Amino acid sequence: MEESSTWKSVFLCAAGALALLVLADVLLARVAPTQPLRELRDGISDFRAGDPEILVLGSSHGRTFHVLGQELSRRRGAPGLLVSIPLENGKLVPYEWVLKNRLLPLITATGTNGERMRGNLRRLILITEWWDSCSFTGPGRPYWNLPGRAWAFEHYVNDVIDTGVDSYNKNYLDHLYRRLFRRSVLVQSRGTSRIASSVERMIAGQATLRTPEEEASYLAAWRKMVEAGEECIGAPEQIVALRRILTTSLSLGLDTTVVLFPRKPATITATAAAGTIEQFHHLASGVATEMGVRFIDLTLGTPLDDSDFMDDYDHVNAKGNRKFAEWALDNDLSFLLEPPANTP
Amino acid sequence: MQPSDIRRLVIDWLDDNYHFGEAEALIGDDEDKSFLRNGVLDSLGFVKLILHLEDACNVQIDRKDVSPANFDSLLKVVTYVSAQLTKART
Amino acid sequence: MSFIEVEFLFFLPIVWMVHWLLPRRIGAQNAALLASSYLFFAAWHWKVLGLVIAGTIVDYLVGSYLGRTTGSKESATSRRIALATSLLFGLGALAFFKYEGFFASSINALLMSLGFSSSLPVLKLALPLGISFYTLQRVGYVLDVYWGRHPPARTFLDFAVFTSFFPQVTAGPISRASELLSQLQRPRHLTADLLARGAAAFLMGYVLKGWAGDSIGNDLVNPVFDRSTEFGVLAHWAGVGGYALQVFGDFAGYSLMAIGVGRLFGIELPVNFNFPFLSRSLPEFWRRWHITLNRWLFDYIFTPLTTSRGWFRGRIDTALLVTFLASGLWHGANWTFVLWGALHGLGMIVHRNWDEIYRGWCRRNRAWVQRRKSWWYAAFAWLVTIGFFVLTLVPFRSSNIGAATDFAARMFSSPGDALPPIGINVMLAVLVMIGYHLLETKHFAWCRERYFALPPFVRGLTYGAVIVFLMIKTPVASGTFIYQQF
Repeated sequence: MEESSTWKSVFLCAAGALALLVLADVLLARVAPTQPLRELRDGISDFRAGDPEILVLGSSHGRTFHVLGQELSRRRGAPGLLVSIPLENGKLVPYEWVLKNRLLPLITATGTNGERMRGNLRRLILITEWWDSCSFTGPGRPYWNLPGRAWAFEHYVNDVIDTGVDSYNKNYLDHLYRRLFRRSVLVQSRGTSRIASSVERMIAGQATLRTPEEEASYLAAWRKMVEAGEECIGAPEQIVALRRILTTSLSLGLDTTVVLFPRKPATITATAAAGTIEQFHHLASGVATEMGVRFIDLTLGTPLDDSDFMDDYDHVNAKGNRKFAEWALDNDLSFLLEPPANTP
Repeated sequence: MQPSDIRRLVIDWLDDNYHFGEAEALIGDDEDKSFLRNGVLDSLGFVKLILHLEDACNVQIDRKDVSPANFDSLLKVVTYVSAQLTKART
Repeated sequence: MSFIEVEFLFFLPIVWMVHWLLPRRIGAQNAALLASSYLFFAAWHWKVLGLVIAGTIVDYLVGSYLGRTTGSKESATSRRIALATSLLFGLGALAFFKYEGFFASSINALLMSLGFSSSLPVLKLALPLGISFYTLQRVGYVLDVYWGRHPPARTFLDFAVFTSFFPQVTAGPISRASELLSQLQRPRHLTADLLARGAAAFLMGYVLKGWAGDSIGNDLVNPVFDRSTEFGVLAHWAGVGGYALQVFGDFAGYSLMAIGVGRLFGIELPVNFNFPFLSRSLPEFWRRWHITLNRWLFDYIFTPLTTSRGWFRGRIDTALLVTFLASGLWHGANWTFVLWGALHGLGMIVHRNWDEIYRGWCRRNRAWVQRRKSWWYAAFAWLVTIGFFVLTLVPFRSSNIGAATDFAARMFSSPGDALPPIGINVMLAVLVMIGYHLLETKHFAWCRERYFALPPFVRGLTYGAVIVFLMIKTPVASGTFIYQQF
């Protein structure tokens, strides 16, 4: 029978547990390091604190535009010119939600003098790609990236009042928990097999994320997914959302651009290029032209090669971000180097 | 019926039905030792004991009294049954 | 909101701090607990609060009246009416939400099979959180007050906390008034011992529920039950054995967490599982598994029936069957649960009669007493007891009687031949559950003694290691408790 505890023993026990937790986190960070990524809330914070000229709204690829924004500021000699608002997992309906519920209140906020607090805003760039125009078809409420990445506390409370705590709004607290412990690899890796897989690779002496066979299999799966994309692109609710985003942007007097984000070249087969990529180009450019907004397709037209993309085949790595930023400002996005003429 | 008679009756019943001569050893010196917690009797056994006491001691046990507070040890049983018998006489 | 989900990670520290920052007075502490508990309910859905509050008001008023009129012969009729009102409200709500669909669809099916048309509405109602548990707790309270076993609650606040105390509201333990209400009617203090034992119980519960039970369920049980035709005979046996461990991990784990959380608020909730897989008889099993439910069933159904002056007096076997049919029905609105209950009722009857026969042998020859204490008798009894429990889980786990019979048949002959999907995770989980039980036996008491003799900091390192393991192996939001659906 264990002895009754004292406050001293409880404190020592807790200290021991905490010590081991911290030690494990530090050690595991060497094996399975995490890198805090720029999220939508970081973008909202930057926008709230600043007065940028350009807002970039889009999926996680918006992180690449954060680097572009830094290059732009360097070239124009003005800090904080561009704020990117990256929404992980993307999709056009959630972009519209973000614009309406998180950005518009900040864009239209006025000071005590009645003037807009963020009066420098002139441009909106919407980054998208074919995947954004496909709707989820599974059960449950879609767009779980909204509670996880985009909601403020009030949105969470209102949703719980409406529906009770459920697997959808749970994502809000899940991500809050992860944000509170951003540097902890244990917290960031919960629910994934990242740590276990990294340890296995370390033991096996495997330097890369995947073995050559796994790499080939992964690439094949990607190619198949992109080729099959033409069956789902252009879902009506997504296109309606796209139109509404552009309408709102234009109604605010913003110079508006739709940019199709680069894809890893190896993932685009000839079939995919002629199918999904080509069809989405026509779809998006059609809407942009109809609404009189600038359209730039960077899907395959940049100098980014396979080595500029991360292991996930989707996002651009640090080297690629710098390459893209320099190239884009010298080429298709060079118009950003000049202050816009329009006035809201 | 004296308390010692009631005590003997319960021990004999426990021996006859559950412990075959070992009931007193199991209870030991502490006659307030819990029957339930010490494996002397279980829930089924309680019911049978109550029915037996009603028949053997000619006493009516009120439903509100059927609880561990009155039956979960030898001492409690003897105390309760004695009190009921005294109440019946007066 | 369940204990292993992310909401609780935020909820518990906040309500705990608020509770202990308030003055150490009953009113303040109970007000904090009530607010926390109603928030807990509201997180499931705020509309369920109406039902909870209404039932609390009814039972508080009934309990107060019964308490005032205890022993009064003039009020006997009105006391019975008050009792009936409470039972009708509480059990009526439970019957409506839980059983309307079951009874309506069963009656429809029966009448149609007899050639009549029947279209009783089959409502698909969401079961309000905890209704199966708090209803029994409130019924027990009202009956205890009616029988004069316990005085009524002193204040509405105390009673409201008693009926809604959030650590136990989802899936028990079902507390008696003498256990929980009495604690709520005194100020509580947080001692180092309560904090330590609370945290330890919570962590152990998390291991059992958040990892062990869920691992066995996800990796072994679900695949075998969901794709039964693909698996061979051995896999079916492994699947149902795994399910026994899954339910144990899920429910015993949850109960431990509930007890742990209760201790963090200075409240000692009753033990609900006492190492049931050590049982060597069915009655012993039911004294170790879901202790508070079976205690309730025996206190409020079995004992009153068998000690009454009516037809049931002394009819122990019949009362056992009735009690376990009630248990089966309580577990769910499905004939599979009724079958499960009936099997256990019959099992208890068989055991009781075997026990009578064996005791007859013992009376004639004391050698049979010693034989019962032998290791081989114990081993055989254990095998039969646990084997019986595991096999009765086939209907318990199945969605309907047909699926249950199909599964049972495949335990002897299956079209599939896949082996049971038992990976390292499942093996480790099974070992942990076995170890958990073995450590309770006297043969391994030395392990526990040695461990608790270690310096606290060293023990803390082991707890930290367990937490690291859980963080690696379990997601923040795991599946729900199996028993939450009851």
